[in-house]
Amino acid sequence: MRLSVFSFCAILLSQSTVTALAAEPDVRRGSYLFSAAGCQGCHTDIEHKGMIGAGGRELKTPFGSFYGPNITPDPDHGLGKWTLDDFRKALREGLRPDGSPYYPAFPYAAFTKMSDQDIKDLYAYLRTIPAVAQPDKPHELGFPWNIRTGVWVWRTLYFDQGPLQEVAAQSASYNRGRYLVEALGHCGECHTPRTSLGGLDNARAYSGSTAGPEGSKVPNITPHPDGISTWSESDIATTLESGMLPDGDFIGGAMGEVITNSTSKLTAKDREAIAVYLKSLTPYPGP
Amino acid sequence: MNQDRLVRRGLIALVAVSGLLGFAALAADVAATVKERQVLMKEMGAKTSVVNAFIKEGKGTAADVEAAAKTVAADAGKIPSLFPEGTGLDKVKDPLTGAKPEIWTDRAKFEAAAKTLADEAAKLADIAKSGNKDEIAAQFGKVGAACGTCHTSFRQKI
Repeated sequence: MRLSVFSFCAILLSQSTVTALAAEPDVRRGSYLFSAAGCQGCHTDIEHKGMIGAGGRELKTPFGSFYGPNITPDPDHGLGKWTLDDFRKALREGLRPDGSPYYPAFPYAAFTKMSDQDIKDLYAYLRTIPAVAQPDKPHELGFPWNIRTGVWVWRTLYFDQGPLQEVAAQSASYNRGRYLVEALGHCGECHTPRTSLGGLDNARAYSGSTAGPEGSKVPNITPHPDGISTWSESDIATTLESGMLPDGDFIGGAMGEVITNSTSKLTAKDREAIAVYLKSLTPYPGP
Repeated sequence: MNQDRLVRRGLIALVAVSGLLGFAALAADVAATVKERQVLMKEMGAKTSVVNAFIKEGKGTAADVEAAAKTVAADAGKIPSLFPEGTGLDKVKDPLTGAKPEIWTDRAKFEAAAKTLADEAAKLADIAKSGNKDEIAAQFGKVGAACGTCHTSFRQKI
């Protein structure tokens, strides 16, 4: 009797401990998420040896140039005064603390799919990077894109708010890969072609684009002959780890940076999950 | 007087034609250089595939790795000479080249990257002598990183 009461209490206690541990923001997990989501790609001015997260990196688009803001914990120029709620509002809802919308150059249409726990962990990590008192550089956008209220139209057409729900019929690996690609890696932002209003043309998801960053061609990563139909899952995982393509070539350009700062830092299991997901995509021709 | 004018016209024509021929020769030179370096890069890719096959699938021998690495090192040494002025993608439209202008605006960085590749590949050839798969894999990682670093800064996807 005493033993069963004891074991019952032990189970209850361990469950609540597990739940409590899961709820605690984890800086290490946050650091991993920072890599998986490729935050450096916009928020660190790598070319000019800028401090991590301090912003200032130019992103040239057909609408003009965007400059990634400072996401260090500086109280005046970064996120120092932001609460977790502010941070969640930015990622989940794509809204600034004053309620105005972010330009979708900040890919919140992807980040909205993040889990609440991941948002918490990322916030915790961002509190730990060095605070840099660097003011944000204003975007240089052409007319009419410089009128921020126009973003509400884009949002109506292209923004589906809310975390990703797992597909019960699919494997854990598939679901993890889907989460890494759709919510964190935001791969579609480059690899999915766009409509004239700058939204993702999801009817042709991941089939590449002729209007990539720096005007380059972005490859098709669907299992179509134009894309990666001949690649094995192992090939995909290898490429994400080292940048080496199946023919021995090495990826360069903007994707080279993604390999260095993001996918090479994932676990092998996560890279394999991405491979599983990509091989499951609907094949489309293109770009 | 007629003769003078004739000679003058003849000279002008000669200069014009040789100018055109010279220009064509220059363009042919550029095309040849672009093609030569693309062949060189493909060769290096074929050699890295050999090393990768050894590490990931156990195909071939350590001697194959050593030979492949030596070729990569030798090819890497040729890289700077295959990227002379005027052969970047801003100047050359046919044949298509992915050589970004940064190769010339950041020339020191470009040549340093090529040298790093040559050095790391030479090291790989040395390490391959031991036959130790783990060491080979570790050094191959560095060779790959050298390929990727240069491509990230200097190569446009075409």
